[in-house]
Amino acid sequence: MDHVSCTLGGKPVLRDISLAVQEDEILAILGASGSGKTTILRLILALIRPDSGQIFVDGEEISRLPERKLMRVRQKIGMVFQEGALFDSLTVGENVAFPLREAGISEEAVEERVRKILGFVNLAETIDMMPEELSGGMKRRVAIARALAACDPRVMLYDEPTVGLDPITSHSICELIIRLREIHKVCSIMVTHSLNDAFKVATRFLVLKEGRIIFDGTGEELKSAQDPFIQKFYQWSLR
Amino acid sequence: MWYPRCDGLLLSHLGYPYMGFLWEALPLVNDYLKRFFKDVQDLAVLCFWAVAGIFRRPFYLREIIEQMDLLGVGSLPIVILTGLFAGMALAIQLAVELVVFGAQSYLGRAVGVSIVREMGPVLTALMVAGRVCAGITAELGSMSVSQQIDALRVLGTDPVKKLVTPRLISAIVMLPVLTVLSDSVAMIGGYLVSVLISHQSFPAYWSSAGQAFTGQNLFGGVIKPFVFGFIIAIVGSHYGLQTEGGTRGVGRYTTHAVVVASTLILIFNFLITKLLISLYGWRT
Repeated sequence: MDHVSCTLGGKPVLRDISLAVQEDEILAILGASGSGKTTILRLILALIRPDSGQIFVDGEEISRLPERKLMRVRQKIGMVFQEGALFDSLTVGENVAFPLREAGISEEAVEERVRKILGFVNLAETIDMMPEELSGGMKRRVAIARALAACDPRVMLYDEPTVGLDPITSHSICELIIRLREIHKVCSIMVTHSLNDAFKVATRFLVLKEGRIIFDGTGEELKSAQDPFIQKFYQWSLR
Repeated sequence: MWYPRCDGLLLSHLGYPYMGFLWEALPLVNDYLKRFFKDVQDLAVLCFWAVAGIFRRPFYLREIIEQMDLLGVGSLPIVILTGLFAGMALAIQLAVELVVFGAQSYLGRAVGVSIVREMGPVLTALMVAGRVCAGITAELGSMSVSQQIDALRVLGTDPVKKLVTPRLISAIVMLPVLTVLSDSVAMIGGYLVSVLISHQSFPAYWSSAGQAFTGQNLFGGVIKPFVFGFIIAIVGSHYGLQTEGGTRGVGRYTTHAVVVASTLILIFNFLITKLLISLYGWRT
C-alpha cells in the first residue's frame, strides 16, 4: 500500500498508509475498534476503493481495476471473514465446494478436494452439516477451508479470526494459520484485538491509531515501544 | 456545499423569516436529492448488469428453477385467494350498478375488462410485491450484513449474476403466469356472484365475459405483469444489496423496498395503461 487514504461515510478511516508485506511473513495488525484495521483488508481485496494512493497485489496495481478484472486478482487472495461469512443455505461441504463448482471443476475432483481440505482443518466429519450447527471455531475453520479451496492463495487475510472463541479453540486457529504459512508458504495478514494470539503467530506487528500507523516492527520492539498508547494497549491486552 | 452559506437567523432579523427557514432547509433538500439521484443511478446500473447477466455465462439454471418455485408456486395460495375475492367483490359492485341501467347482461364483460386490464395485474403484482419483494430484500440484506455478499465477491463470483439475474428471470416469467391464474379465478368468482346473487345463467355470464377477452385486452393484461415482475425483482434486489446496519437495517430496508416497489407498480400501471390507450385508441 502506497500512501493510501480512505474515507467511509464521510469520515476519514485511513490516512496516508504505506505498508509492504513480504512472502512468508505473518503481519498482525493491532489497534482499537474503529482504527481502520478491517478497512485495510477490504482495500487489499478491492471491496472498497481508496480516495488516494496505490495498492499492489503481487506487483499489480489494483485500486483502479474494474470489478471484472479484480476477479482474477482475488484468486490470489484467501479471506477469512470475522464470523466466517459462510453461505447459510449451503452445507459445510457445499460451502467449501462453492468456488470449485463456480470454476466448473468436475464433481469427482470437487468431492476429492473438499474432503482433503476439510481433513486439513480437522473437520472431515462436518461435511453434511449446516453452518448453524457449527460452533464459532468450526465456522472459522470451514471459512479457512473455503478460502483454500478457492485458489492456491499467495496472500491470506484473517479478520479477527479468534474473536469470541475460547482459548483452546483460539489456539487451534492460530496453529492452523502457522501450518498454512509453513505448508503453503503464503504471506498472511491478521487483524486482531488479541495481543496473545498475535504473539503466537505473527512475525511482524503493526499498530494503528485513528487511521495512522503508529508502530511497525517485531514483537520485541513492540514490547519495548515508548508510545503511551502502545504501552497501554500492550498492558491491557495481556491482563 | 454547492449553495451559498448563509445565516438563517440573520435573514430572519432582516425581516425575511421565511428566507431563514428556506436556507436552513436547503442542506436537507440537498441531502435528500443526492440520496434520491444516487438511488436512481444505482438502480439503473443494477438493471443493466442484471439484464446483461441473462446473456452471459455461467447460467445459473438451478437457481432460476429454485426462484421460480419460490416466487411462482409459493405465491399461488395468496394470488388465488386475492383473485377470487377481488372478482367476487367487483361483480357484486357492478351487479348493483348495472341493474340501475338495466344492463345486467353486461356483467361478465364488465368484470372481464376490469379484471384483465387493471385489477388482475395490479392486485397480483401488489400481493407478490408484499411477499416476494420483501423476501428478496430480507434474504439479500441478511447476506449483506453477514458479509456473505463480500464473500461471494472474494470467491470470484459476481453477486448480481448469481443472485439478482435468477430472481429477475423468475419474476418476469412467473408474474404473468400468476396474473393469468388470478384473472381466471377472479372470473370464476364473478361467475359465482352472477349466479348466486344476480341470478344469471352460465351462458349469459360467459358469453358476455368472452367479449372482454380481445387480443388487445389480453396483451395489456400480460405486458403489465412482465414490467411489474421486473420492478419487484430489481427493487427487492437493489435494497437487499444496499442493506447495512445489522438486523435492524434488514427490517428497515425490507419495508422501504416494499413501499418503493408498490408505488412504482402503481405509477407504471398508469403509464402503461396510458400508452396502450394511445396505441390502440381505446375510448376513454
